[in-house]
Amino acid sequence: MATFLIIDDSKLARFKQEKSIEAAGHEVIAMAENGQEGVDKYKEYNPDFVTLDIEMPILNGIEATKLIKQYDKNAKIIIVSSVVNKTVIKEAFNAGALFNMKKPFKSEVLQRQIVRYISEN
Amino acid sequence: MMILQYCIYLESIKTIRNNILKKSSSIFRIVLLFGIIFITTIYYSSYRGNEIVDKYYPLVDAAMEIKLETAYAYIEFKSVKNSIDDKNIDTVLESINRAKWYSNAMVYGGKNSEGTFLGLNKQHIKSKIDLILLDLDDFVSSMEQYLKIDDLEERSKLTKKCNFLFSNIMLKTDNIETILQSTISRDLKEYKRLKIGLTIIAILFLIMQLYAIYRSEKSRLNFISIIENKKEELSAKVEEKTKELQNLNNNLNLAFEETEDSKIFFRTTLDGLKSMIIVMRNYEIIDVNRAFLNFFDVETLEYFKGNISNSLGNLFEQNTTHDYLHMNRDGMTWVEYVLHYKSEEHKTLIKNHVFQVNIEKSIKNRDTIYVITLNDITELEQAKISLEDSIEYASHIQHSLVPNNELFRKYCDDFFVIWHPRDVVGGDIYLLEELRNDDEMMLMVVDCTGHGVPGAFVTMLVKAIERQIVGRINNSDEVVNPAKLLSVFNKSMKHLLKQENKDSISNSGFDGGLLYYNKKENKLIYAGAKTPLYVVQNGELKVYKSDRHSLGYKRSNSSYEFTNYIIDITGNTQIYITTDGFIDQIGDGNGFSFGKTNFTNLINEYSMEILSDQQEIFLDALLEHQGETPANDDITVVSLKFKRYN
Repeated sequence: MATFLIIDDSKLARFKQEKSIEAAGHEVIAMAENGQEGVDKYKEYNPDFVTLDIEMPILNGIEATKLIKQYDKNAKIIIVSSVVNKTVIKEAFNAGALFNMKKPFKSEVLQRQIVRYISEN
Repeated sequence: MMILQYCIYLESIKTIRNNILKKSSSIFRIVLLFGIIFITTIYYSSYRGNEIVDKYYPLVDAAMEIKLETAYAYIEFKSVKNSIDDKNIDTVLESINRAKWYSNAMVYGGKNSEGTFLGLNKQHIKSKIDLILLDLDDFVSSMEQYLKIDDLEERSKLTKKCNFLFSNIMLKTDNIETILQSTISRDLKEYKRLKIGLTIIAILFLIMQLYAIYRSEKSRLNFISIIENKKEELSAKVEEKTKELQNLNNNLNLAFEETEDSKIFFRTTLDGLKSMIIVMRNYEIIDVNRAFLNFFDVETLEYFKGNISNSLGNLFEQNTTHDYLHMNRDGMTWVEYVLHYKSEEHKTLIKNHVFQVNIEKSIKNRDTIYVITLNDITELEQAKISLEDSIEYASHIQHSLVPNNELFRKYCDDFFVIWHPRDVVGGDIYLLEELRNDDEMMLMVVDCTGHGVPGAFVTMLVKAIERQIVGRINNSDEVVNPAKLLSVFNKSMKHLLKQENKDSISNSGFDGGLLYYNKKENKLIYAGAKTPLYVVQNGELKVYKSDRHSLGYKRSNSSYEFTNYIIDITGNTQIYITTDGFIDQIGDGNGFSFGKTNFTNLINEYSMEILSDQQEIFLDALLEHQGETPANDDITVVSLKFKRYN
């Protein structure tokens, strides 16, 4: 069982991701509603995986990815965002994210991707 | 000769009998088909009737139970709050848990003493229930917090929060109840129509059956008379058949010669192909064409097998960064993988050449025969990569035109943007510009002609004109007038693209909306070209339809005067501007577009939620409608929330 930190400014998105992650048999140990809070929670909880939105207030997903990777170069970050622009996604990958999950998605798709991602990492 | 004649006679009788059987069987099939339609209609009708009774009515009950339990919890909490000694909120928690149980039952289904609840399948209602569940959790944590603290000010804040959450839950549940009630009424209407349809089908079925019986009897009599006539005709045919038999031997000899010719023709054709063809029996290469031998620079297949490789999969490059075929993939051999995902395009890399792989499989004498085609697409791939790089760079340029989030936050209380170009770049764009001072800004949501690269070119032109306009505004004291600015866009587009006369080759332009915001004056001014503005103020939605006149096209009138709509920000004001991509998106399986009504309903139902949640809901609703259907246009929705400044 892997532990997760969910960082998303939408309460509904956090709730949906939490349900999918738990249904896939993993545990959500913390949630944050902006990038800065996410970085702080990462340092506090050291989760196995992070799901992260790109567009968030205070600190965006790309900046948050950079800070998390600075703190822990082995951090495993999954981008879960509605941003489709390749330049932005590339920027997120350059910052250290390993996987991109495009919103919107069906709950089963996220579950399947999480299982696949965890087995590959 | 007599035996032959008898055989032919018997054969003819058999044919006639078969004809009668065939006719009867086709009549039987028609009767069976109508029978199946009839039974299916009855089954569907009863299923729909049961669905209304078994599914929706219990869900309406569940919604009422949520309200009841929440109201009970609220009253109980008030009495606990007012009591001095007893601070036990167990009864409150029990009620909240029951409300949560009913909420979950509405999403996933459930059973209790009140009845059986079947889960909903509408994603946007599910999202609404998810929001109720979140509010219920908030409600509990606020109540628990209230009982733990003594600070009066904090308590007052928490009481306000509890009151807000209570009314929010009630409103949302009421809303769900209304949606369910309207679903029931719509389904009942549909059920009535179904019943009428069923009656018509039953009558048709009866007529068809009578007609079938009539046809069957008529055919039987016809065929009896045909049998009698046939007897005489057959004697004459016997002679003819004997001659045919004599010719048969000669024809067989000719056919053999033709088969030999076909083999040579087939071989020459295969060897003449540019694609490599490989035939494998149970993974052993048994034949290849000339293109294959030439590619590996060998003369014979035997030489290839002995000196280069006896397996095709061994030749595939293993260490590639691209998604190419390898010997094994996802626990399957490459052949199994290609056959399993036959509809997908498969590529592999051999000796630095990219090949497109196709496989046909057949079974012959218990052996599996695979015919593999390898098309050399190296040049095409290189061209594709170069094109993709260029378009990706263009996307980078286009993305640099759109405003960053900080600019939105500077002027708005909250916002969301959905910007999904159909291809890597698109004809939709949104622009936000700061004007003369920190109090003024201008937002544009634009849908240019076409999508992809041509659309993106037009967006660049729009941006160039917009920068010019902003420059002019910043150097003047004039009041910003969106309607006049749209006219400037109209004229400039026509002029720059030389579309002022009807003979012009190009015909590009755009639809879009221009919103001017003045923070100091708490005022919004909007003008639109075929792009409505949706405004929610005090929970009420108003749609400003805008002018039905596009900008910049050849047919666009240069002197057209657009209309300004002025909106005073009296309290919290939310605006939505969308291009037609969201509304016109075709649904999965049904071919219908998402529609203005559904879009307006989304705003009506969810405008009270925070905008990041609204974005999720809008995207979920689109996904639910779109399913696996590809996007048919670029999609852009911008929503901003303004508050009144004194």
